[in-house]
Amino acid sequence: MLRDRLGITLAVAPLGADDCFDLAALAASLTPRTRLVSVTQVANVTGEVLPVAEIARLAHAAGAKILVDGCQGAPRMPVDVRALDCDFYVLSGHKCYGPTGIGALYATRSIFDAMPPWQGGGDMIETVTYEETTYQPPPARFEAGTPDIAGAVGLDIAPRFMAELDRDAIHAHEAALTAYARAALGAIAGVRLIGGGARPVGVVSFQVNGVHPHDLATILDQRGVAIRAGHHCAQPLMDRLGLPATARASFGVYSDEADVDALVAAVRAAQSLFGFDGA
Amino acid sequence: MMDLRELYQDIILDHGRHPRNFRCIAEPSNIAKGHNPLCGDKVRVFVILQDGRISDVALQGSGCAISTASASLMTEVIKGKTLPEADSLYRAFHARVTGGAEPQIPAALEDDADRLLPLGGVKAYPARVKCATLAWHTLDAALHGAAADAAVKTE
Repeated sequence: MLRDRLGITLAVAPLGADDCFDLAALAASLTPRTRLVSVTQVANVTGEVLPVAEIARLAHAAGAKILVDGCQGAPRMPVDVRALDCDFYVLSGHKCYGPTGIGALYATRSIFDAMPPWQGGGDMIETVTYEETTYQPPPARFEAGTPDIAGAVGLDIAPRFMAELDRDAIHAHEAALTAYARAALGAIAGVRLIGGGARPVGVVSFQVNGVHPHDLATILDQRGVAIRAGHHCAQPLMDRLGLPATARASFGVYSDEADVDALVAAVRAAQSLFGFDGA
Repeated sequence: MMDLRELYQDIILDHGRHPRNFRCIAEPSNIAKGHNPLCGDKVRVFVILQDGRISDVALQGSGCAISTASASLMTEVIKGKTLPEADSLYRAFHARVTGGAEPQIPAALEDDADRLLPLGGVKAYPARVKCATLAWHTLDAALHGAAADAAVKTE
């Protein structure tokens, strides 16, 4: 979309041979003309955790800004935007145990101060005369019109909910559960895990030989196990992996090992239905 | 809860694993592409229409067991049919998998319509209906599409 609007050139840092993020490849794709490095903190398909602080150092050394997509990271780990040294950080409410249809954009003060309004409306105006209009300082400048008040109230409560549970504890819980699931799924003959890197968190994507992800999802659903099947809004990654779709199990603070055990049993049942008993 | 074997009957699993008529036709008279954007399933339907009759039909693509089996069974019943016969079968099939009122089927087509019965189980799984109908929508576009090589989307 930015390419169409601004005429930017999009450079994509390729994945490594192990289907994981490749820091050297990203470093090699930076040029003096690189303006913005956009990365996810936790990959939504594989659960891989990216070394965002290191990427930020590389980006800044190249004279670029960095935007971190924290939609998957914010609900799964403590986030310190100053320690990450990112210029922008975004998150969405419904992935942080909050409401749908609302999210947050963080930017450093100096960037926000330099940014023009993107939309006009009530409450973002400071003064208006026939000669001149001046705008509120950030963040009010970017919040034109009557906001999603109920959503904002909910979004305010979501991080308190996570803080009560302790965000380090949430991360430890989900990383342990993800490791447990990867070990259990990976032990099934005919199951291939996709990507993930050193210490994945929150999701595990996998393929079951001979069972298409959509068939798998239906069979699992009938056994009370809800997974996502599809391209996960990551079609270029599917092309890179040479897959039309993957099956993906996701975990939250309420998931436990019994849920993983049910998933594993359901995957075995699907294999049996399709005549692939551990083949 | 419905028994999964109602959906995944042996004939579905067989055709899903070993689809019939999955090949290219080098010089088709009619062709269309179908795509389920949400699943990533893609299919191409090739038809040779001769004297108003489907003398050959073939498919290429990738998909789940339901979409592959549906496409495979479709090619088997559609080969040799006239256009109106193919249309009748399409309407009957569509009504069956979406739970609509089934149209009257000409007596000569009853056996063919019965061959499609195993796919009726998909009706209980609304999210999967589009898997079963992809090949048929694409066939319909190949036979009646205004533009050659028309692309069909089920979303």
